[in-house]
Amino acid sequence: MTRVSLKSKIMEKNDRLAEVNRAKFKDEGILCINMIGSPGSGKTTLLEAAFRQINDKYNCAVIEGDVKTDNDMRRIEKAGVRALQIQTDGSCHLNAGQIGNMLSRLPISSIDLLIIENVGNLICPVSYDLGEEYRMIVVSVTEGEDKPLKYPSAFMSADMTIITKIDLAPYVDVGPEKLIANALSINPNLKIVSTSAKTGEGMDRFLKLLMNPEGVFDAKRSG
Amino acid sequence: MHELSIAIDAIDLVSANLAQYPGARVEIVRLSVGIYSGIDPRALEFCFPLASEGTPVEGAKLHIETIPLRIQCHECEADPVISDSLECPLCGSPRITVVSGRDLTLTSLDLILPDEEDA
Repeated sequence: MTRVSLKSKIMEKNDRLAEVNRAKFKDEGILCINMIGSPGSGKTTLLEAAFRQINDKYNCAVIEGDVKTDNDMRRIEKAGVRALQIQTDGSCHLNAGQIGNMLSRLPISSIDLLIIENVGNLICPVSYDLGEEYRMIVVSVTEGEDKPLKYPSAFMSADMTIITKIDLAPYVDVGPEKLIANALSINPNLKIVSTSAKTGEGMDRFLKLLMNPEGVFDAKRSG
Repeated sequence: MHELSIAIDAIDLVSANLAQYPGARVEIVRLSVGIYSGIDPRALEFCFPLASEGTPVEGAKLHIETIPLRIQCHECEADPVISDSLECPLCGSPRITVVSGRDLTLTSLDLILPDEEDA
């Protein structure tokens, strides 16, 4: 028997392609956010509500990931924003190669903000770096306040968490403050905003975070 | 269930390494899986034989070592410690970096080389 020591990263190929994407985003001054959340957490609705307020000020684009249909792409287009759809045909996550292929179909030199709405899933997309600058976890109050404790890898890997549907909190006996405390117990560096796309509550703060995650993003950063 | 994709990636990586060892048979594939890598070791074990069918890795055993989350605190500057959150368990500071616990690594292979086969 011969033992061969390797120490190779299994995600090496994806990570290499993610770095290519990241370099492209940096060169073009694009802020890229990878949005991860359960199916039905309200990712698309949140984007629709946000774009209604900012798409005349910023050049936005969305890459949608779903197993089937281009429903979400059409919803985003209806909100006035350029969108592309990746249909994974069964796969539960997006990978960096798919994003790289999509970039050739976008006018990237004119885009300020690129949102990648990942396949609805709080587990699998976590392992795949897409080259994003920020990772956003979207979680609705209806999913329960212990979501961060049940799916810690997602919250641990994220920079920001958006809580959605807070208007429904009283009806499902969920305390948004407990949800926040649980998320912070996993990752104390998370920036957290509570929103309701329906009533508009918290949308101002969400937009501020989107436009200015670290206080540096102000329109086209590369000038 | 992205463990099938991960199993296929791991097998591709093993196959690529085998090119240097013509005629070798893979006895054991060793992986280390960080507990916050987002991978379920049991699901990976389930997928591995299916994904290796028809590849040079077919018939190999999979050994998985689970790696805990280890963080380095920049506040109290203690040696890296095991934690279950991104907070220093000693001083409570969030100013930490992750040392290990998120990676997914092909650590080693046990091979039977052609001249060892007869022994």
